[in-house]
Amino acid sequence: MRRPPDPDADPLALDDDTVERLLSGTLPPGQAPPGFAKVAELLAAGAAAPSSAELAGQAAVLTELRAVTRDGRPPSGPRAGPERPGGVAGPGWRWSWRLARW
Amino acid sequence: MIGPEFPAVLSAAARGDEDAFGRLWHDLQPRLLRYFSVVSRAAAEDLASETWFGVVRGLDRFEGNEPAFRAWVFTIARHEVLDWRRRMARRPPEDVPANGLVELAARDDPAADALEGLSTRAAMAMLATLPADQSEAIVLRVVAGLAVDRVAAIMGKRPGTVRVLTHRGLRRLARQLGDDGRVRRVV
Repeated sequence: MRRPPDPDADPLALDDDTVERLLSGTLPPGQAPPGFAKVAELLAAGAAAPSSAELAGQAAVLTELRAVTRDGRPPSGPRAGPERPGGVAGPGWRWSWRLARW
Repeated sequence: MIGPEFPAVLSAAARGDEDAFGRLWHDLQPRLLRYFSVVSRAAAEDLASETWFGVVRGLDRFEGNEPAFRAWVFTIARHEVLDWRRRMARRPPEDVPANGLVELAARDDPAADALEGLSTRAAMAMLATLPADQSEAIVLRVVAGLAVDRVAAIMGKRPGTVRVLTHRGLRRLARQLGDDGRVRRVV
């Protein structure tokens, strides 16, 4: 004998498998449970391919990589050394410690 | 994801191979920016740069597969967020310009963005409206692509707690967005 539907049940309740499919982006919005199509769309937008703006600034990081691998790794622990004037060009970059050969 | 080539890419990057490091950057920098845009939007670019500084310093000592590497990077990222929050909490109130806060709040209107169609930026703004733990759990699962146990380790919570947080966050989003795309205020 089938149980009647529970009138107090949360209409937005999700089972674990559906949650995992939503979070992994493998649930197309059209196949999402009632009420979650827009959520599936939002999560897919969050995991979308990167924009060119999001990939900007690599040059500054490469400069730091060159400094670290060319001149040896700094000791682990708090950053040491005086603040150097100027800094790495590029938006939003602030390095409080740099290696230099000269 | 870099995939089967990851061990070779990591090894080369640790030796200073710029092409290899560029692949790590290409995979992780957008994810980091999106993470920071949800948990600490005012300092997203700066915190991303500080995270990469930590990655560069520790790259030759890291051992593990790609999921472990990604979890390591986001662990560094989270520490940067916590440090930043502590610094902000110590700042005198007059150092924070009221106009700047108003401008920051007005720049992104999740409701308006949701109605226009879901861009990545709008999606992150929408996630940022959730309670902090819920938004962070969802971002680490979806954007960082981390499994529940790794998210739990990063957040210092049990896996079961992370599951509950994501469930609640998803339901809250569903109530806010509605099936017809209209944003509803959830109290």
